[in-house]
This record gives sequence, C-alpha cells and structure tokens, in this order.
Amino acid sequence: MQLLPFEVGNEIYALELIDIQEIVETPHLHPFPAAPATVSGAIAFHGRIVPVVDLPCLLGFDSPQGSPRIIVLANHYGPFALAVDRLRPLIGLDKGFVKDADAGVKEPSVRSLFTWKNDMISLLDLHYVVAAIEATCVK
Amino acid sequence: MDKEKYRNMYLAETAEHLQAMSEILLRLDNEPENHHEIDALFREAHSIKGMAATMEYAETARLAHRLEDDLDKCRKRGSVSSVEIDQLLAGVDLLEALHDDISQGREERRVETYLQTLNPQVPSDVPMSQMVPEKEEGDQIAAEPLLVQIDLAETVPVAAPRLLVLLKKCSDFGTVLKSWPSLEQILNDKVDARLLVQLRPRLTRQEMHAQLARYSDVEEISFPKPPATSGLGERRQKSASVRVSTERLDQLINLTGELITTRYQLQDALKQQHVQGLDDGVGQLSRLVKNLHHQVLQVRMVSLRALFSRLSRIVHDLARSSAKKIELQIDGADIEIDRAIVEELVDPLIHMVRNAVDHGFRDKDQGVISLKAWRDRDQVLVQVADDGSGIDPQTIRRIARERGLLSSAQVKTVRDYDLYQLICQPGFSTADTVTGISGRGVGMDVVKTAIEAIGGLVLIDSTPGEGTSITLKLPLSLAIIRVLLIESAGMSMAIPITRVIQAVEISPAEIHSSGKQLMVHYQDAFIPLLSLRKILKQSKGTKKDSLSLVVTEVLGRRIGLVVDRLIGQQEVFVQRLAPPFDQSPGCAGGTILGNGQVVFLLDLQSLLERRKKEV
Amino acid sequence: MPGRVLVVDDALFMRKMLTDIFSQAGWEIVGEAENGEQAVAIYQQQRPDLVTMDIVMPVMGGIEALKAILQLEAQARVVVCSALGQKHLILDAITAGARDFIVKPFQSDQVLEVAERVVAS
Repeated sequence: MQLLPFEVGNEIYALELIDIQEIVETPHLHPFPAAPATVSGAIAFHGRIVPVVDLPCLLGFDSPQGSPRIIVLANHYGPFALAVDRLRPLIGLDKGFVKDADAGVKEPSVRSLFTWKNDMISLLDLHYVVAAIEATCVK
Repeated sequence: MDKEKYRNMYLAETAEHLQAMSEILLRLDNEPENHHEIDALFREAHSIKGMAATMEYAETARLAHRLEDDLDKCRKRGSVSSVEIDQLLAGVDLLEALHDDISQGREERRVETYLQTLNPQVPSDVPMSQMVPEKEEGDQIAAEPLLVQIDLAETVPVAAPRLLVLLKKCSDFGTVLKSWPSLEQILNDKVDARLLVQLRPRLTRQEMHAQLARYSDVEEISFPKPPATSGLGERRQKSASVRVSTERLDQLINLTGELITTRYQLQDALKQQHVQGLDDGVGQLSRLVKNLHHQVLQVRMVSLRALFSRLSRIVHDLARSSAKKIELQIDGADIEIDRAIVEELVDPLIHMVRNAVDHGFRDKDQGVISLKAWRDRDQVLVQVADDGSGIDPQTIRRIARERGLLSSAQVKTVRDYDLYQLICQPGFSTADTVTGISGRGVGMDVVKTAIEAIGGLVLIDSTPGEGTSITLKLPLSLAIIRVLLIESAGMSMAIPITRVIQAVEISPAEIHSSGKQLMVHYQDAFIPLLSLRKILKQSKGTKKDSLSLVVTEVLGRRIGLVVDRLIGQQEVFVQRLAPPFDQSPGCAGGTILGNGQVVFLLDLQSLLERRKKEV
Repeated sequence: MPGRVLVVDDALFMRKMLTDIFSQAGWEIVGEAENGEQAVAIYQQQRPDLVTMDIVMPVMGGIEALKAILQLEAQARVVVCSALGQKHLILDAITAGARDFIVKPFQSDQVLEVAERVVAS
C-alpha cells in the first residue's frame, strides 16, 4: 500500500493514497460565512466547491502557519479537503506492515501507528474526521 | 426476462396512468354519467393491468384487473355511483402504494383485504392466477443499497480492464448506483488496485462473493459499511432519473455540434491572430452557452399538474369526510418549475390545502378554494386561497402579546400585513380552542421553513369574513438563480433575489432609534436594522456617508440588513456543499463566479435562529 | 466445464498455442480464423460457446468482429486477447461487449480460468 505522510503540529500523520484525489500546493482559500473553527474555507477545485477542513484545529493543534498544503480526498468523502502543515515524500509498505489499531492506540482519530525510519506515523481515521466535522457543523 | 431493465419504464408509465385515473375519477364525481370519462377510465385500468401482468407484478395486476371488471359494469350501466367513485379512488390509492413498493424494491403488499371489502361474492383471484405465473422462490429483491469492495492482487498486470470486467460483473448482481473509480475514470485508466461499488443487489452476499472469487486476480472481497455520511448521501439519490423527450435530446446534440464548430473557428482565428474572428467566435459562444443553459433547464422542468391533481384529491377527500361542499378551482397547472422544487412543494402545499378546508370553512359548510400558479419573470407564484372566514387581526394581536412575540408598543404599531406573517412563528398557534383561529397556524412554521430552504417566500393575506390567501414566491430553478452580491468585511456573499424585497442606499440621517434598536422608515412602517458584520461576528466597520441596506424578511418580519457594499445582481449556478458542510448555519450553498472566486449564499434565517438560541 | 471454442488470431503460432491449451483441457475446437471476417463467418455457422479474439488483425480487426458477432447473437461470449501495452484497446473491447480478456503472454491456466468462468456465466 502507498501512504502519503504529512505533518500536523508536531506529529506525523498519513493517509492511504487510494483515499486521496489530488494535492493542491498553492490553494486560494475562500472564506465561508459563519464557518465553524474547524472549517478554514473552500477552494474551487475543477469547477466544484470543495470545503477545506482545518485538520490541525480539528486534532487540537494550532492552525497552520503561513500557507497550508491541501489534500483533496476521494469523491466518496464528499468530496472535501484537509489543510495540513507540510507534506512528506510518499512511502510504500507491505499491507501486513500496517495493522489496524487496537488496544495500543488510544487516540480515536488514529487508525494505527507504525514506525518508519525513526518516525512515529499515525494513520488517520477518516471516519473519525467525518464524524468530528459533522459534530461541529450540524446545528 | 430481465425485469430490472424495464422496471423504470414501467414505473414511469404506470405513474402517468394512475394520475390520469384519479383526475378522471374526480371529474366523474361531478358528472357521473359521462361515458367518455368512464371509457377512458376503463382503458387506463386495462393498460395498467397489461403492463403489470407482463412484468409479473401479480398483486398490481390482480387489483387492476378487478378495477377493470368493475368499470366494465359501470360502462354497461352508463354511470358511476358516488360509492363506486370512492371505492375506485381507494383502489387507485392502493395501486399507488403498490407502485411505491415496486419502486422501492419491496415485495408488493397484498390486495386481498381490499378486494374482499369490495364485493365478497365475486371470486376475484381465479382469472389472475392463470394470467400471472407464481413468483419464483428466491426472486426477492433486496432493498438496501450495499457496498462491495474488491481489491486486486498486486501482481495484476493491467488493472483498468480487470476493474472494467468486474464492474460489468457487478451489474449482473443488481443495479449499480455508483462506483469508485467511476466508469469514466476506469476508461481513462485512472485506477488503483481497488474497486468500490454501491449497488442494489438481487443476489445474496454469499452468491456475489462466490462469483467474484472465480477471478484469481481478485485478492480480497468485502462488503464494507458505508461511511458515516451515508444518510446524507441517500438524500441526494432521491430523484435519480428524469424522463427526457428525444426531441429535447436532439436539440442538445445539435447545440453540442454547434459548440464544436465554434471551437474550431476560435482555434483557427487564434492561429491566424485574427481578432475579428475571435470576437465573432466569442459572441457565438456566448449565444450557444445561453441557449444550452436554457435547454438544460428545460430538461429539469416539470409541470405542476401532477401535484395539483394530488391536491384536488385531498380536497375531495376532506370535503367528503367533513360533509362540506367545497368547490376547487384550479388555474395554471401547466406552469413548469424545476423538478427539485416540485418535490419540496408537496408537503407544504398539502398542509396549506388542509388548513384551508379545516379552518377556512370552520363556520361555513360550503365555499370555494382556489389553487393557482403563475409566472412572474423568473419566479413562480403558487397560491392557495379560500373564501372562508378569514383571520381576525385583533385576535392575532392579542395572542402575539400573550405569547410575548410582540411588546405592547409593537402591538400598536405593527401593520396587519406583518401581523399575518406572525402565524408562521413556531408555536404561534397551539391547541388553544378558545381563540377561534386555533390550528390555522399549526404547521405554518414548517411550511415557511421548507419554502425558505428552497429560496422562496411565504406571503399571507386575509380579510375577516372574506377569506385567506397564502402565496408562495418561488425561484424557477434551484440550480441557477439570480442573486444579489453583497460585501461584508471584505467577504463577498450572495442573497437569492427571491429573498430580497429591495436593495437601497440610505443616509445616516434616516436612522431612528427606539431604545437600543436602530430603525429606518421603509414604505409606511419602521423596520429594524441589523448589521451583517455583527451577525457574522466580523470586526466593526468604519462610519460612512451612506448605508447600504438589503430589505428582506426573516422570521416573519421585515428587516433592513446593513452591509458594506451592494455589488450587483447576477445569475449564478448554485452548488450544494457536500454533507455535512451543508448543515453549517449561515451557508445555503455556493457558486463559482466567472473570475474563479467562490461566493457563498447567505442563509440569514439559520444564522438568526442560532443567535436567538445563544442569547 | 469444457465447451466449444473458436480461436481467432492472425498469428499461426498463437492459434496453435491456444488450440493446444483448449484441446488438452477437453474443449472442442470448432474452428480457427486468422481475421475478423473469417471469425464472423465461422461464428454464424458454428455458434460456439466461446470465442477468443485477437484485437489487432488484418482485413477486419477484433473489435469490429466482436461487434458483428454480438449483432448475430447478443449473448455471444467473446474474450479478447491482447498484448500488455494495448490497455486501451482492451478497454474499448470490453465496452463494446467482450466478456473478459487475456493478456499475452499468457499461461495455460490463466486462459482456462477465464474461459471456464465466462462459459459458466
């Protein structure tokens, strides 16, 4: 499986490539009236309005400094996009390498944890992200 | 026979026949001896029977056959009694319920009970059991959509063709609703080693699994639970298909042809640096795009006829059950409006019509209800009016004060028009039987919320002793609407023009203050001023020589919304935001302007409601 | 579950390989064709259970022949054979109605897996 690791605050998270549609390097973020703090705005992406989630804010870190990188998720997630602090190079792993998290992982936002070249990487649970946004958006 | 293939066609056609049947029955109610109508009704029942039998919908066929038999007797007799009309209407209702069962993929409900209530001595099932073969065991159709996830082995040399074969295979399992990657992405080789298919299955999971396991390229087959947003996703699938005449499609194809020609002209002109040619081409292009926009809108348009005929049925039933003589006048059933809007209109209009019968004629036992639709430029107006008792403004004044909706001072100054709009306030009219208008407002808050959600307005007018009219002002289309662009603290936003009463510039001298509230004189009343910056919790603006004001109606009251700048009007294509973002208060969708700027549609109602809750 | 098969390929070598694989597994070879035109003619006479169809051939190509055969019999089971680099041709063929595909070079068990699966469906 191929993973895209990225930095949020002082942590490294990753997503499976299959869940990602595109990376927007220099996005133009449009503000969104009365948006909850976890939503940093929206981008125009191939003619569609795609809301952008402030992932650091959602995970309890400070909002990105300077211009964030934006990861547009695959279509069945809405689509929506995640703003992250910085991207890291892709890594390829054997499927068996990353196991679904169980007792070892306490963070609900993390699907599993693994070590890669001395870095601890958390595989982000997108279902958690969707549920967390729902909680902040729905009246 | 591959029934699935014909099911949608069957559903669309029977829906038309069913609608025709209830329309004819309602006409027969007034003219029970019109044999043309009886003949027509007989033919409708006959068509439904034939189609249902071919499709092996046994219960539908049986019921339609029975109605056909009964109508044959009426035909010979040359008249239909009012008891028979009610029986037939109930039969049409049951056919509609069966239609619903089929469209939802459920098993048909049984019609036995209904047939027995009709005429027990006539054996009803003898001919049908010969005509319609018994349903085979195991032919049941599962209703719930299911996700099938197929992962290919990493050794597969060419993933795209394999996924294409698998996607086609999945269409043997049932109706494929969606897939990731999409068919188009597969054909363009934009694939990974995974295929996720959402389908309405005809087979069990074990059967599907067994068939997929025959592909050695497939490493893993699973049936994942849909993501958390699926509830919202289903809502979107609701209106999946549209019937389009081939004529209309041909027009679209011709337009596409012209667009292609124009593209070549433009490319040519560009190559030769021929400015005049470019200019002509762009002119042509904008004409074609305008035309295309118009044609595509047409595809989404449906007439109000079906909805109106359903409403006349409701009036008929209510009048009968309350023993009132009510005449229904219908006008403008041919007015066309966006299909999505019609869907949202069903419940509010049923509610309004019920209110008119129940409360408009509480003191009378006969009267006229008029159901009217007309077009006013790019808006459609739908009105339900009665010539009943009307609403007494003094009673509303009293209740408004009792319930604390208006202060004593406001009660004195408020105009009757604004007073009537208060009926739409949640909880305005509770089950208070003493007031004499009880029930009139029950559910009107729901009507108002539903209409405003699609960018419309509800206007109420009444004259005691003469009647009440409720008018819905609606946009023609949900997708493309006219908006007023405004700016607040550097943020551009749009307000649907249907929500705007007027946009004006006023001078600060025109502002009055009443306590803490700033007011401005508009037409013949004072309306409160609200600052958009304040509502959006933006920073305070600087003082200016003139104030830009959008006069609109929120929560049943006219207000003046103070904005930084009025930019102008524009037609825009509105996109809904992906769930759950569409639930965020304040934002009712967005649009991308020609310059690439994303502008959101302001939803004042939900913002003010939220502010109310916070206070 | 072996059946009756028609093998279509312009290369004699490929035809030989395929017919050997099929006959060793107990299939009946109803004919061999070296272009699409021949394939359609044989199909019309023999109505086999399966056709393996090369895509790039002289006179009449595989996709054209596939369409002609489906005209004769909408339920015809045609599997296309193609080289690894011709992914788009394979996609076109499946879109046009081919039931499955075989990528050259192939192993005999791959061919038989596809053939048996298609005939069983």
